[in-house]
Amino acid sequence: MKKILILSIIVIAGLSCKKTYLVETPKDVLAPEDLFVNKAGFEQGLYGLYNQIRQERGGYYQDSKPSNPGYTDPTNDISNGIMMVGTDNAYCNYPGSSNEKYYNQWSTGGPISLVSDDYNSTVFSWLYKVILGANMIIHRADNPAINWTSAEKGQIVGEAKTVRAWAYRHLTFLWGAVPLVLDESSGLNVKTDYVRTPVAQIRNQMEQDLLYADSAMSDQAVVEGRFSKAVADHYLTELYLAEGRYQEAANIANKIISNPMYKLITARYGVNKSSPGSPFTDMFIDGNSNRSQGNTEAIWVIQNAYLSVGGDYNIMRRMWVNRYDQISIGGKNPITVSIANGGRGLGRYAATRYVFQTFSPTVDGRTGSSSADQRGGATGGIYAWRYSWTYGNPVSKLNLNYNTDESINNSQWPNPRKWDWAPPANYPNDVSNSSGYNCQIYLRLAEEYLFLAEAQYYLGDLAGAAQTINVLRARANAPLITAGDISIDFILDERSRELFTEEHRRYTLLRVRDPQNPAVPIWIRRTNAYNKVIANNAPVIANDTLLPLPQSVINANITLPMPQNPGY
Amino acid sequence: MLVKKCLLALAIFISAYSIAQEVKTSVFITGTVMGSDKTPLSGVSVKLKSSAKKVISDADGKFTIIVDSTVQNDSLVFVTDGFEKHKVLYDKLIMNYTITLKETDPDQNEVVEVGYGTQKKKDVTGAISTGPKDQLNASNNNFSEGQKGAVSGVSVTTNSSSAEGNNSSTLVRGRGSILSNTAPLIILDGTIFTGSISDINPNDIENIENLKDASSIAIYGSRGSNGVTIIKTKQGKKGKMIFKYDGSYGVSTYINKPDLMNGNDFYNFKSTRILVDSNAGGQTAVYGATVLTSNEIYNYQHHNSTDWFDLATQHGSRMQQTLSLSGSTEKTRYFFSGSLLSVQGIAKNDQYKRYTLRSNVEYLAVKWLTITSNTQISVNNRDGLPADISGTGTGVVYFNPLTTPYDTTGKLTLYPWDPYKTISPVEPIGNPLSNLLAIRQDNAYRIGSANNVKIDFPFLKGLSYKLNTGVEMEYDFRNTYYGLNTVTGFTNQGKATNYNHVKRNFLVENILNYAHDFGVHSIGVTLMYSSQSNDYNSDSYTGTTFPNDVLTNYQMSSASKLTQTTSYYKQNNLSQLIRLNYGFKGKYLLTVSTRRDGYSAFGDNKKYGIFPSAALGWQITKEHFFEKFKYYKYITNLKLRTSFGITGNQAVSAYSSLANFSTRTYVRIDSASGSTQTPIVENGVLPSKLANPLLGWESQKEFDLGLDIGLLKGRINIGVDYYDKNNYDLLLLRTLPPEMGITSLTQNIGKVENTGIEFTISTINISNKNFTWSTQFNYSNNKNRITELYGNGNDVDLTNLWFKGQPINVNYGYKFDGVLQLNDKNLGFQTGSLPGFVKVKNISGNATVSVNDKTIIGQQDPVYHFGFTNTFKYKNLSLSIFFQGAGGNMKLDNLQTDNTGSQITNNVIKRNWWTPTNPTNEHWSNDYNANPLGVKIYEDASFIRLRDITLSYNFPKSLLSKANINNFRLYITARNLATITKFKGIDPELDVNNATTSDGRGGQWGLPLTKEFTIGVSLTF
Repeated sequence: MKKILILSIIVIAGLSCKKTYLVETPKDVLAPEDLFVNKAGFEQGLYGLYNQIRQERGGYYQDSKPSNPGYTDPTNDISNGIMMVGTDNAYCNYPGSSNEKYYNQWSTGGPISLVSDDYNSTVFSWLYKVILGANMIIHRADNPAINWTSAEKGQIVGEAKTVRAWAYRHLTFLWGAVPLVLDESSGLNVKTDYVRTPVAQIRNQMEQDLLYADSAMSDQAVVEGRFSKAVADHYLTELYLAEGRYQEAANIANKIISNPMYKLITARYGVNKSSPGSPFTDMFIDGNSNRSQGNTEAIWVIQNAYLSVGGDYNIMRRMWVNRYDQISIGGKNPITVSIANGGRGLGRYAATRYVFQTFSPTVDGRTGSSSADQRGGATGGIYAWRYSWTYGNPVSKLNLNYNTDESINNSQWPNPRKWDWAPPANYPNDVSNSSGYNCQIYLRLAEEYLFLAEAQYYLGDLAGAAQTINVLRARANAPLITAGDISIDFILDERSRELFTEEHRRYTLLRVRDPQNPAVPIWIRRTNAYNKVIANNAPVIANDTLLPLPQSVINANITLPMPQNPGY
Repeated sequence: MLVKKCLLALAIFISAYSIAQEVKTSVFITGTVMGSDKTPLSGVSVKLKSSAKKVISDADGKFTIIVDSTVQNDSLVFVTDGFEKHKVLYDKLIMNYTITLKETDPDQNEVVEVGYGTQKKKDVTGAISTGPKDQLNASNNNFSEGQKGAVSGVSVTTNSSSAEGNNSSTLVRGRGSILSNTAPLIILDGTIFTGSISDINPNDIENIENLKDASSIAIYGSRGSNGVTIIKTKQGKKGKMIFKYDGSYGVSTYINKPDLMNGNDFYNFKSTRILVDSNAGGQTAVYGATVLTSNEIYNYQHHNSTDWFDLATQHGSRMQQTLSLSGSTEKTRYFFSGSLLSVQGIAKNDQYKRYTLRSNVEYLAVKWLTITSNTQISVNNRDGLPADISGTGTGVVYFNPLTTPYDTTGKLTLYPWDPYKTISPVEPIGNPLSNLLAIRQDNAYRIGSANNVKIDFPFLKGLSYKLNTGVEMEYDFRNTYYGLNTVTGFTNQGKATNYNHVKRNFLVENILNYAHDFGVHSIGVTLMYSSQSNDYNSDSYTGTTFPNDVLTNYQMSSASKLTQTTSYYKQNNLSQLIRLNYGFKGKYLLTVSTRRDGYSAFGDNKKYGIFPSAALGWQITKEHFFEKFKYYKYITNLKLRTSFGITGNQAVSAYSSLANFSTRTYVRIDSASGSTQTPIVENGVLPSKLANPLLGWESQKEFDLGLDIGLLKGRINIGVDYYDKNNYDLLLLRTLPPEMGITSLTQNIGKVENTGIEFTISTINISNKNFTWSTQFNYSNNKNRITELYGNGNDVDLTNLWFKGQPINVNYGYKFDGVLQLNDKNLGFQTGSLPGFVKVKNISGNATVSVNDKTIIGQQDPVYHFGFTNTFKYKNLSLSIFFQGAGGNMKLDNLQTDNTGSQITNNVIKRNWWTPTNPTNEHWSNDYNANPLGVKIYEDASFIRLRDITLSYNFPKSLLSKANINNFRLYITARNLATITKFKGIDPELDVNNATTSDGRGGQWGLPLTKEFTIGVSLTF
């Protein structure tokens, strides 16, 4: 018996396995320790961040949990709606079952419901996820074992820091003081006592990040679709304007403007060159938007591609092109979805009547007609806006009336053409495709001129401001202005004319103080004055300038109460 | 690597114990062994009581044993499975013995599988339910269906209907986990089975044991807490070769279908449906008539109504055939079987075919070495895609009856709403039958083989070593092609998906067993050391935009866009077990065990867990004092059992404790390509998960108290069990501050309690020469509640609808309180509501409706379930009637959901709409806005169902013997003939959680369950 037992034990013991038997060595799962070991790994981290930035123009919860029922439609709820709609120049034309309805209601139906709203919390989480990704790159780049040149490292860390500043820009404009997180989070160190960092302190960090980028990055982007130094400089300019540091703002804006890499588009170019159009609208045509395609004005262009892995999509067209296929004429819907008509739109958002008025002499204040303005004038702007539709055989024309106040569910309201896109003609089955796959301008040089003019205005150089703005007006074929025309409201009008649907209009109006009441942002006065849907529902108030912190953020901060924004 | 090591070890082991044998002067004794029916018995072990040397009878039952000439006062011992041990006095003068063995009384020596061995049923200390043998018949595609309603403590629910019939969920003693898998662990022929329940042919199953209490399941350690189902397949029986044929054919149809409107009804419904109410804010009433499309009007005027449900469904059928061959030779027992199952579901194109080949062989190599191999090869064919039944807005149950399924040439239309733009901005709705034209090939090939070598040590009685190895491999190939004639193909210019996966599972177990009786003490020891490894690898390619449909799935190289996904996992387990059994005079029984489990997916700080248990049994009938009890004669068995132990749920999947990135691919335009915009794909990544080295198993503490009673010599058997299970360290996704960048982290934090009772009784009510009537009844009741959520004082999780003190799956929302009537005082409570609108129950007592009026409306899992079988036998005729039921739960009747779409595009069921002249409380008014708060209708889902009636006839032996047939049974079975329930949906069993759509479709809108009629034969010769 002894022998047996001994032998048995030997046999069983002999089968003991190596200690590593229970150690996991995943093959399809990537860990930070395996990724951030060389330049290629860091670049993968950066491309993940660019993918996230691109989602600003995609469905807002694309990256969260779509399996969770109750989440709204990814193709109907764009992330950037909250950044530009519900302002002086944009309202929600077709409020769906989704969140757009808030843009027209603000304090009554809007932000209060946003406290526990998915949209509010998802945008918040999305931005902090970008920050986590950026923090990982910034911290792990200090590993001395990585084999790269200091220029390579500087470029990558500079891009990551610019992305981090980009995310904090969104956070501070939308929610105000938010926790400043600069460390890489870990599962062993769950933090539940975050403190709201004052905006000034966050901006100080953003400034440092952007200054680092300015010093470490090259003028030329590594490849199309990645940030160049000018992107960091752009946000630095805006930051200085927001901080009231106008001379520094003017210096940086001038630096970009004087960089020979960037030139305004002043002549017809690119794929649509020989068809009717204007230099201004050429930039927005698919095939023309990238720098390599001739767009010398572009500072950064969002990359998308049709039928390509990683091509993803944007839904700007879906949001901004109106529902022309629902216009009923003689009991029929004769205007059909087509490439020529700009692809299929749902008209969720639209321009307020004010936008069209800025192109008329009465508001523009110009002597001479501004109707030739390529950005929206009644005759010059027909390539920038749909003021009419043609249909049928023989061809009939439907002129859209925009001489009344804007209203909801209006299919006969002009829409911008900056985001027109439909699948190519050789994919006829796909003309109703819900999304767009074109590369789109995200930042362009024109805004630097407007930044400069704003800085000049505050520095008292009204003539300089007029001169700066005239560069843009000359390009757009609009009548020129003089120093006497310059006011902050005029500059904001000009921004709307030039950058409608491009700039984050809400941020601009929150950044600028109201000269009539410097205690509050100009957003309140201008929105109530020009957005009739909001004015008729419920005028916006000071509390509406910030979104409420998502309830989930407050709830998760278990060990330290986190104060909510006022009014919620 | 590990397998190799083990085999090497085995070789050493065997050679060490090959001991030469010596022979002395001897006499030859011969004889024949036969059963009571005079058939010769092979494989009977024959030996002298005093000697260890055994011989085995041959195929004719003959044996020859060499006995030392000096032997006196000894006896010959005959032992074989299934027969009582037989002893005759050894007499030198008798040279040729004729021995008749008596078959064992099944009640006395019945053994049950207890994991890593068997135990006599009378010695069992745990709570073990044996699966119903007679219900593993031809009417079931899988064993789980066969266990439904038949086993106490094991609740089987059919979640949805399909040809394969595998979408059921099994809960043993309630739901013990909030988020993790709650399905029991399946042990097939001693090895852990990782396949689908469909993979096992129920006709090959010899028996099923369900282990429920802590002591029984703790020997499966970190994987036992959901209960363990032990399945043993058939083995060759002692005796001559037997051919058996089982064949059956059945037809099926739905029990119920949603009472949808036809074209005429729909037209009237839509025309009168209010879109904007006339009384609200002084607006003029707008009726659905304004959004009638030209197509709807045309089809209504031409009486073109389409019953989409009918177009998508058919009569189902089910054919199964099994041929088996079994028997034994002197040293070998064998069982071979081949089977074919072919099922057509009630949804068109829903079909399932299974081919299996099984070979079970047991070979007695030398008298101390037995080699066993149980192997099954199977092919599962799941070709074809059924029509879209309940997809959001696109399924047949949704589909507008005033649309056009076929064009003038008889081909399926792509968009039955032609011209589909009339309902814009709704996305174009494709034809729900479109899938029927897609090409789908799906074949899964699977090999499962359990092989073991058992050594009975010749020099120590009762000591044995078993090397058990299991191998499973599964290959699945799934190709789908959507051509231009399908909606998916049309919008993608052809879409092909080629998918395949390989799944492997290897198990090696070393089991050392010792069992011996020392006088009144019986001792058993089991030691086990095992390692298991399983991995999975899948590849999937999806290509779109092809030049044409000709090459279907074989033109990936010409796809305009090709997406590839690959996934892989591997997980390893290491386990050790020790179990001790002690019995004193068969009166006091003790089982103690401890298992230590290591698992690769657990976090670095939690790799190993220890799972101890203990059980006590007391056979009261064996006590002396018991005989003083007046009626003791009537009580044949009275056993009290109790057990306590800790088990786990290995809930963690591979790599879940590690940090992870998700892929976020980015394109950039090739700067050199200019306006052609050639995209370059860059692989981007984004952090998606934080590491958690503390992640471990879910734990369960279970207490069980049971009583087994046998009365009137086994004519009445009763079993009662009470249990209390506490599950803790449950995995929950804890919400993190979003500032961390990741919003949730899985942690071991939740707690759940299940308490319940189980009761079974089986009786033989009448037993005559010609007539017997027997009854079986089982009832189980389980109370489930969450006892801890996040450990942070939060008792409520409104996102997941978890409430401390409540069952895991509850319904929560506003409660339907009828319809607001004209002059209803309640109008003020619901601001903006009008007569005819849904009335919300005022729970809070507040003046206006608010979230505080939301309440819990019953639990979703049944509280109790039961089964009741009566079997009548008259001569050769047998009738069995089986009722089954469950209840105590409330279920969402989402048929009542009024989801028509804003343009009233979708069909709904017929209802009794409220109108001022029909002031009903049954259903609100036909108004798009009549249910502004989305109040849902929950109904009592208790039911009792006449599950099976089987009438069978065994042809008399006298008739059959002329044709050399042993047994010929003919039967007919009817399934799901009748259901009694208050539930108004189509079936109280269909699972609402199975609804995949966000608006709660699925569930009652899914494919209905079926009733079936089967005719079958069973033939042995």
